[in-house]
Amino acid sequence: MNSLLQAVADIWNESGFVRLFTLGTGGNLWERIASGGIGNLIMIAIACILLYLAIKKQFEPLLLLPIAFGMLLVNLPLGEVMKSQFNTLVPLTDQEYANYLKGIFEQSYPVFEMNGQFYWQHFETGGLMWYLYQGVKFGVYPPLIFLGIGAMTDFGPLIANPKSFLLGAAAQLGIFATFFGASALGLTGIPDITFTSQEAASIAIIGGADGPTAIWLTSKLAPHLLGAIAVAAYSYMALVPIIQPPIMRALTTKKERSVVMQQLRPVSKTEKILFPIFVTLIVVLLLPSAAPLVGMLMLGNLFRESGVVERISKTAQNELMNIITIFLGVTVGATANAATFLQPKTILIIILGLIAFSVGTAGGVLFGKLMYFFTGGKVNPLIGSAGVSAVPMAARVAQKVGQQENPGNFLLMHAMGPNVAGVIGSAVAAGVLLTLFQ
Amino acid sequence: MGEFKFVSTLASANASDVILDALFVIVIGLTVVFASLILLTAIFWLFGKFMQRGQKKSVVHNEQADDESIAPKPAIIPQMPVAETGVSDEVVAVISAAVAAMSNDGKRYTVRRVRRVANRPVWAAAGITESTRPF
Repeated sequence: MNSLLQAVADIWNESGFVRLFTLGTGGNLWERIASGGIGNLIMIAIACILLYLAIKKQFEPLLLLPIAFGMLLVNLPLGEVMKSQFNTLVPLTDQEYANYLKGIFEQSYPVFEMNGQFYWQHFETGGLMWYLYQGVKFGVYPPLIFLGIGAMTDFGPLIANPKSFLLGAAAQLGIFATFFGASALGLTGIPDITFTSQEAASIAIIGGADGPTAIWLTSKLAPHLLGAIAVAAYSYMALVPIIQPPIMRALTTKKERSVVMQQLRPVSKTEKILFPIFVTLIVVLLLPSAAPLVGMLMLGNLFRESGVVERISKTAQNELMNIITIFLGVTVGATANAATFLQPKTILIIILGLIAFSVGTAGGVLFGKLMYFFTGGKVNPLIGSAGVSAVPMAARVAQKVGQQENPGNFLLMHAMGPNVAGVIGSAVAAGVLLTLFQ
Repeated sequence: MGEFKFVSTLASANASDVILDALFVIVIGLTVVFASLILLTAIFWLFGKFMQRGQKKSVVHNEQADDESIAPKPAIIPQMPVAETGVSDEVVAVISAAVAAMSNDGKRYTVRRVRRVANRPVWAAAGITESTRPF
């Protein structure tokens, strides 16, 4: 009976439950909490809140749900879903050496000789998420997501009104302003809130309001911040209808918001086919580091507009996009372990991300006001706010705010121009930051 | 950018170096983003002008062709119904208004014929609605 109880106790002691109520070793109290099981408990609670927001409130559920579940999974002690693969060299025993001489051993394990001693290579398999994470680490998934986005996007409103490109550029102001803010925090001299240039650039890209771009740049510049940045980027994208309208109203007059814009001209098929080719040529020649994102975005769009590869286009829009979304979401979530996520920097990332989003919106609206002025009142400045990407949510917000002033005003298609230009703009901005800081 | 080094990465960097570097990033970043997108604006603006001119020429050409084809058969035109049976005058008015709104060039148009496209199966109609929806 005693041995049975001992066995049960051993199983309990070896389970993840016991580990959940432990503190880490070394450092101050907070560091011990973050590196111990209690840190995991806090992360599980955060993951559950994010799951609630994704399922109940439908905040970007396609990505927030897998991100939250990845976060939950990686914080369950002993699960080791993110354990990295590694190799060690183990000295051969006499029996193994004898087998090696007979040619038996080496068939199963590679054997090496160093300084007269023979070793076999012990190969430790990594966790599932670690293998899937390689697609994020090597920058494979975000461009594939862009392929699907390209196949789903109609660039017609942008081609019909090319001036929209400028609004897409102006809304990138948030990225660079936030980079300034994040760098300036270093002047405080407090190590916990000091960001390196690579970290500041990764945080700033949240202002692009483009999840795949943010993940792509962060995976290359500051992979340890991936979880926090992805959560911030997708949360703010879901909160666009709450964040943007007050800024849009504060920066515009009633008269400006009521402007009814001229009907967009119809765009020919030839223009739609040539668009992705020209954009690829110009942007990639100008900024080669943006090639993976812009190239894939435009390839997807060419699939769509050419009309000759409908099957591929549908696969890029649906099956491929969905598969990559699962891999990307769950592995990005799995990078958010307690030790890296429960840091003062995470809170700062959330705050700086909000600033980036707000300044980006303001930049677009202010440039819209400039265009309103120079065109003699033909451009409604509200469409500038859609330049922050977040397709198509930001364009819908512009439509909604415009319609509140003038119920007969339909700004949606006008706002789609800056909206899709913002995708190109944020990819270019990411390329600039990568060129400067890699 | 191969040999370029930010001043703030050097051990001797001070607060003003950090600020200067950050300002440098803002200026270079916004310049490159704007330069790329201004270039694209210019190209697609010119492209639009070129395409519109091409379309206008083909419209003029079509109008001439129509005139030529109509001229020898003046008796047929008045007999042709504007809309097929079952299409109300209100629907014709709405279609005409939509055409006028889309063309938006101040010209006068004459609707010669309104014809219902072959009756589609309900699933095909649903598919078209789905794929022509903005989102």
